[in-house]
Amino acid sequence: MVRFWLAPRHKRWTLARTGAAVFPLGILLAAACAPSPAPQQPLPPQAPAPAAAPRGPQKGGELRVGATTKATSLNAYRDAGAGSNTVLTGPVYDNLITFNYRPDVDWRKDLNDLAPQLASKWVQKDPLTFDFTIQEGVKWSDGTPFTAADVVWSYNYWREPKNAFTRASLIAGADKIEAPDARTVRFTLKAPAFTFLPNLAEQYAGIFPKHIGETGADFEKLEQLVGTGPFKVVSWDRDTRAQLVRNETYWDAGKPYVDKITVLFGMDQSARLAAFVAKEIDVHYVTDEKTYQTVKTQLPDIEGEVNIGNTHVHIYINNGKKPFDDVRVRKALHLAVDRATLNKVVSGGKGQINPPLVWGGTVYAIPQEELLKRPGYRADKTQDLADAKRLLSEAGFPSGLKAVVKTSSELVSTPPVQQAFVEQMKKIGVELEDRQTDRASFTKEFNAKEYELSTWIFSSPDPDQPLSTRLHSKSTSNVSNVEDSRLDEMIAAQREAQTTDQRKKVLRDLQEYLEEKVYLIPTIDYASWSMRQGYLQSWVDNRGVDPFMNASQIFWLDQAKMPKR
Amino acid sequence: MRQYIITRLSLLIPVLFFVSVLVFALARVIPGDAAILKAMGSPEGDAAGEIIGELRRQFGLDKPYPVQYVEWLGKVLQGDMSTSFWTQKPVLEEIVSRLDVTFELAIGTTIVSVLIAIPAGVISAIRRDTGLDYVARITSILGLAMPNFWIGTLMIVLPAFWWGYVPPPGYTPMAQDPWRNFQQFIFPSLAMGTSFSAIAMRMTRSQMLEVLRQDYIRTAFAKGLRERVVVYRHALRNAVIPVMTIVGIQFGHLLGRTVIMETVFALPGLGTMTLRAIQQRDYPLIQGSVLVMALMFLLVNFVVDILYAVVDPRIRYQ
Repeated sequence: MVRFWLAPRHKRWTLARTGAAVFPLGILLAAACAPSPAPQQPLPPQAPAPAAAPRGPQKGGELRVGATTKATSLNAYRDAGAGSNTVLTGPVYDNLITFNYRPDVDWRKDLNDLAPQLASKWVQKDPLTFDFTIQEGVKWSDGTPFTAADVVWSYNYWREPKNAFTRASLIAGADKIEAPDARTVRFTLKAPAFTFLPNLAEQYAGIFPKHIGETGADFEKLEQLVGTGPFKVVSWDRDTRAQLVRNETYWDAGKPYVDKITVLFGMDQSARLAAFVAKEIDVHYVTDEKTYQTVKTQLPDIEGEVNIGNTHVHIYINNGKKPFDDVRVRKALHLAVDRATLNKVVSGGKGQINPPLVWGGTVYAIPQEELLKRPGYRADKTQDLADAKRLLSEAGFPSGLKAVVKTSSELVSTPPVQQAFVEQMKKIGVELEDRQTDRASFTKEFNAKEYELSTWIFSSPDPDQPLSTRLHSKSTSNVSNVEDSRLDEMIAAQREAQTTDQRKKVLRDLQEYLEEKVYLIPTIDYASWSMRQGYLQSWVDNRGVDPFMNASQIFWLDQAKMPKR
Repeated sequence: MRQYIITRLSLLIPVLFFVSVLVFALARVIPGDAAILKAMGSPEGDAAGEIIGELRRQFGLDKPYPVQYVEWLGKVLQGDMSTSFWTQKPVLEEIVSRLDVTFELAIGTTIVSVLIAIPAGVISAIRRDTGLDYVARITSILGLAMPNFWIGTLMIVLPAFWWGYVPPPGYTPMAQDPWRNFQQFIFPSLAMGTSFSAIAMRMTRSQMLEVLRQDYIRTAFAKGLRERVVVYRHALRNAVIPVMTIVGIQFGHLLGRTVIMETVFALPGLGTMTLRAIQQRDYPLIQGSVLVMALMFLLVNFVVDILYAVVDPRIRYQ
């Protein structure tokens, strides 16, 4: 009936017309795909070149980073859950004192290694009194002089409940904060606190401007973002990007080196990886070694290494709920966790096995070689599994039990651990339902203690905060439902210790006590592979998965090696 | 026609009212709220209970639900969609700032979809049971079968590893830099367009096959008309009306379904904003954006209905 449509003349016409319609699109697409930087090809072997003279920091250039999450607010201190906010505020607000950040050094290993920032020096006059001397000549980025009154106002502003500062607990130990003169700030503590100084060095302990705050500012608006730090934010869109430029009034002469920083939000993992490979961003983190090796092959000049991250994954137990109020049940679960396999499955064996609530990388943790020989942590699980079954049987569950384990599906780190945990518990007859919800639902249920088991993290390198908030009977965040006066005393004792050795001893006893009581089950820390372009120098890695710029004043860009953007 | 338009437009009001009640209720059924998330969302979650209470008071979450609803609806009727819990910005301002991205992506997707679907559908029909027909049909099935987020991810990752190219990160408005904007939108439009074209292509093909069997087509050829004229003036114009319906409905759906591509390509559209609002329990933003999406969907369907009469003079609305 329509045979004549098959005539060759018609076929040519149709194809030509169709092609004409689609061709411009193809040309534009091909043009869009034109490589901007030169293709990355491995170089042929060459004779070694004479060693280049070491070059000092250069000024100029734009650093680009991609944040894992979107920024939700310019006031990072009011939004506890959004790490990306500190990518913006970290370079804007300086602290009184800071951790001694150095390139290629894991700053978390010695949290007592502190350096001056807005305070040039400090002295502990007695166990309860600290005097800080403010640096001379420091100005806010709007030109207003910085004084001790700013520090006093700032910390009192934090402590005011109506300001809803979620990190106010960092200075909860301070009784009085005063400024005896324009260059001195005096803290009087309620009780001795070993953690007082490290808390002041935390990334959430920046000093806010009194003259802005007194206008009623909530520090959520761009024009209210006035700091003493090396950069100032000049534009931001919480879904796409923020731009920071050098603060020309910065007190540390000659710094920072980089002209501007662009933070890109909202790119997913694959988009960030692609952007790093195309040298559109300068820093990236991956959580599997294979991807890291692939990128390293593609871009041999990048710098990178494996490091243990900031997400210490634990199985939280609701100790007030049956059958988990029975230590034998809790201990059985602890013994049945095959941590070596867990580490291999979720982190390629490069992660770290942790003791309870003390990060394994610190001086306070039970040493790894010792930990890995202990029941529950050792690689050979034969005896552990037999003991676990016996304990369950003694507790009245000879054929196992059923429970629900919850976590947030929005986190990268907890769902894989939870899945592996659920599988491993089957070996002792414990059938767990793996329930994953979004973060808001999980947070609500977790904090209301509406759970039996939950997989969650802590990220503080110092053990004081997780111990005080999660296990102290008087804490409003005691989600584990622990009522143990001896543990409360031990938590107080580690905080009030006067020397590192004293604290190490208390924390050692505390870890062994927690091992005996099993109020929660420690698992592993993820390994991540950080990568940065070869032209980015003096970068201080956060050891996490976000490019927190802890020391934004010291990194610099070797512009001769940078691609044109 | 005027009466029809007035009737259709007046029906929007009860529908939007129903949507407002539904979205208000659904937003509050899901567990958790912005105050607890803001205060306790961190790993240590150490905010004191009084901070959560203060945040709830600031957000108005301490009031009974009916009071919250009436206050919100009252504001909406006065053109104020309230303020975001997280950004402290007016919700309407937030929505308007995202609309252009979503519209551009939806329009780009529709253009790609139509550019693929119509020629492929026509060729497939007039070359029925030939190699070209099989290729077109298999391609359309593949387009349906492959998830567009996967195509999108490949479009980002492969050029990066092969040629060191990625679409410029972030979003640049067209008015600021059209070329950069084009590079940012062409890939998500292609990824979505290939998938959306599949249904329209199959519809075009089946409609064309049906029309080509009609007597008037035979008559047109018998009169000695050139085949180009017969295909495009007589056959395609009649076959395209159901395709228009499909494309129109798809466009309406696209306004609320671009979220995945917006996420993959980091485009700040209405979809990602709404998703984030849901994750953060930002009630005013959830309610405002769903209301606007519902309104847009209704308007697009309305416009498609009106366009029938433009394309086919036989259609008249009473």
